[in-house]
Amino acid sequence: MLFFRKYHNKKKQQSSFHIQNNDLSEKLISSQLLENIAEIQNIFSETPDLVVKNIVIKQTKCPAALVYLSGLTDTKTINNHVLNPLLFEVEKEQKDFDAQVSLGDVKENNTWQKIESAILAGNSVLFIDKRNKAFIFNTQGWPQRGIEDTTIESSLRGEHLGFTETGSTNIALIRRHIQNRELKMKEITVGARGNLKLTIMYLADVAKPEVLKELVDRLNKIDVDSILNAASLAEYIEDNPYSPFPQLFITERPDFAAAEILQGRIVTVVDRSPNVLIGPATFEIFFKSMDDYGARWLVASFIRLMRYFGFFVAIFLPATYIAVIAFHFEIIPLKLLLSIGASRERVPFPPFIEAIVMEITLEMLREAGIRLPAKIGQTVGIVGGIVIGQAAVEAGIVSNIMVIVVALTAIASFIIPNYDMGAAIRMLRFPMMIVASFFGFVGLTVGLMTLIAHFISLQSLGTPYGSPIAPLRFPDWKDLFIRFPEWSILKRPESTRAIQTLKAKSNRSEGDEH
Amino acid sequence: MKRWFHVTLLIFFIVILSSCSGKAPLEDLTLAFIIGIDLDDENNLVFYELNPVFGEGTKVGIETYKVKAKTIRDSRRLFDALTTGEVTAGKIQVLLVGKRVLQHGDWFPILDTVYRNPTFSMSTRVVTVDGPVSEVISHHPTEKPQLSLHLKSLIDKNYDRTRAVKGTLQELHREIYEKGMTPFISEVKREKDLELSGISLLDNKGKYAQFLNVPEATLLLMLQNKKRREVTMTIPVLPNDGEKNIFHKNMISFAASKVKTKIKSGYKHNKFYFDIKVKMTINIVERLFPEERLNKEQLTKEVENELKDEINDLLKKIQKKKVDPIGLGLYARAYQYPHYKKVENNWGEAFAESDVNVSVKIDINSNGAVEQ
Repeated sequence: MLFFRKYHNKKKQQSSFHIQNNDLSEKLISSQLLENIAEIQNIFSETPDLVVKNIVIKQTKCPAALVYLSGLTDTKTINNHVLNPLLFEVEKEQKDFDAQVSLGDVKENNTWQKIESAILAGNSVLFIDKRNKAFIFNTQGWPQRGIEDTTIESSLRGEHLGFTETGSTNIALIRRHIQNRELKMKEITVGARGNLKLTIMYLADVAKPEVLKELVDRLNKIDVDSILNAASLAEYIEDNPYSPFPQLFITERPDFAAAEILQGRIVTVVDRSPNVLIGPATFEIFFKSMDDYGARWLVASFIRLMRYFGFFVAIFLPATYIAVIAFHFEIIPLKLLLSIGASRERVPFPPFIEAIVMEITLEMLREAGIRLPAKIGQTVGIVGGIVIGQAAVEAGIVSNIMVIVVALTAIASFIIPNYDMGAAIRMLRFPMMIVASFFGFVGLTVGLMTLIAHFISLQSLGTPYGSPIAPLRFPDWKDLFIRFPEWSILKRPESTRAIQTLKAKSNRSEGDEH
Repeated sequence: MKRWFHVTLLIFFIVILSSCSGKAPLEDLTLAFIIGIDLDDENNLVFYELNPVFGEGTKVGIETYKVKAKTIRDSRRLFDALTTGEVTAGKIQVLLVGKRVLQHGDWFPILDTVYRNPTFSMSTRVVTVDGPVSEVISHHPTEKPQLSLHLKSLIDKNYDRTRAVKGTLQELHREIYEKGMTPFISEVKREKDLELSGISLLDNKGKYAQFLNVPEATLLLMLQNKKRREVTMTIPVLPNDGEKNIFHKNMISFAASKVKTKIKSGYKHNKFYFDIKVKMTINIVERLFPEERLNKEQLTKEVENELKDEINDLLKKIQKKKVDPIGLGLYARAYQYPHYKKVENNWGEAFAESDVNVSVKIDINSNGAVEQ
């Protein structure tokens, strides 16, 4: 800790890491075109993709220069809607505004700082001789992929559009679900070099202003050169950075994001990242999936109960195995004891080593499978199946029961719909296995109590993470372990601290008479 | 800094945590499934132990050991010298006690370690062996499941059919120290096969007093209101035909779906008396004589009389041995405390002198699925 602090202090001392030698903050552009071009070339030295196109505007016969970065702009837009009108069109009537282009988004500015960032963001800037203002045209257009089906959080009945890397597209995907003027947005730019645009989306008459303020404050405090994705942004603003649990929900599903905005949560769209952040998150939303609302409520409830069961299985099953084999064999029923004893007999390792070897093998297989191309990934699956499966048992390295335990644990952890929560759970089982191998059930109990103590102390954007379990809020239990029918859930969850709680009226018709 | 303090504190607490002393993984243990106690010809205590041996694959063999030792705990030392792993008591299913041990009145204290040592399971069934224990413990027919499983399910199955008692260590302890009743445990013997022969009644010290066969055991359990599932009985209701009675045409079998025993106690003429009323609802499941010979009322009467006689015989049998497995002393203590208090330490004798009045009431519920 001390080491880190020292390191941190050092960093602060040389805190001018993002201020360039050439400070543009107060500098204004001049009215001389040539001076401006010289300044531009000074700012963007060694920038081969910078285009400075000198033209003469036909309308006014004024010399001018259009400046842009070639890769970040849409060439067609520039040619058809900027260059073409300027070079060839003549209006009969004299106008004040002599840069007549057929574009919607045109801004004027005279500070170099703004102009620089506009060019870097993919706009094109027009300097005109004898004018001390420059025109900024929105001609952005960079390489991007189309909207595809979600890959990590796939669903059966939910929307099949996933977020992409363009913030404005992502905003549009969310806005399509909430066509309401109360859907407000705040824009924040983070990162001195990265200039990452964050858009905070919320329902102004539903989301709690204090929570919003907390989020904005935290985002504004981030002082870093660049942030590359939503998950690392979440790390900067999380309440408990040392906790294994994710405290902000990261999703690639617009429908999920929209649903949470409607519940009173706040969504932060991160430009250039195909994920958005949802906060304040509670423990339970990591166990929800859009399919819960696409299935009949009984089925959805059953699946959700299985997820919570899977949560406990994934954390405690290997630890319980170790504790039982090493300490408490008395609790095993006689017939099971005979079969466990028979399969353990050939295993040369104590249960802890046996379990840890198998669990780590499983984790490595899982990790190996993720980043491999799909074709090789299959091979990993087959090899893994053989290693974890029969071969290890036949070689006498692990017992049959251990294989079953590992397989159950893996299945139980993959049933968690959220990747971050699943990963946290998979990691948590290792400390549990260690305490179980030292102290048996006593250790397991202490481990569980520590976990619960940590769990109830967690917060997300200042709201209790454990809600509605701890603090206990029974009205929210309608959508917790059991998902009640949609028409019976009339209120927004208290956990989001929404200021407008009622979201529906009980207007379901009762039987045949209506 | 505070955070690290907490983490350090937590680690410290975990480290000093007291836990189950010493771990020993399953495969390093020798799990005793059956313990036997017997006397040899020179009246030396002999201990037997049966444990599974895990072999190749899933095959499970068993091995038995016999040692001469002074106490149960002492025997573990000798067993440890014989077995591969540490002998552990946690999974003992059956405790076999030879009849010759039980015939000595002061045998019970040798079980002390079983109660004192928490690793012993209190649900171990205690069973009398009529004959040498070695004959039972070395009985391993290939077609039967492993002896411990077989013996345990033999007892549990008959317990469910109201023919035997579980006689766990815990029950036995209570019955021995309870002054108002005397203990009883199941009894097995080995003829050609291992069989459950009945119940051994012990006196209040634990000394072997009387043997009850299976039908008598059922009656005893009925009097104790310990009916489990349906009680089935086969009794004669008509006199023997006199001719060659190969097919026992006087027998009737019934299943009692409801058995309710009410006991009233009193004290008259310097002795206790008990009024035992047994009320049964029965379904006739087997009748070997024709319908005309007895109508329903007569049949009811006959069954009642027969049962009453059998219960009276049973009571005479136990009164003769001055034991009270029914627990009538508990009723005496509850309702006649001043009188009971005087004979508390000698309840067996007081019970032997008391009058017991039995009445049986039968309600025939059905005659089975045949046309009348």
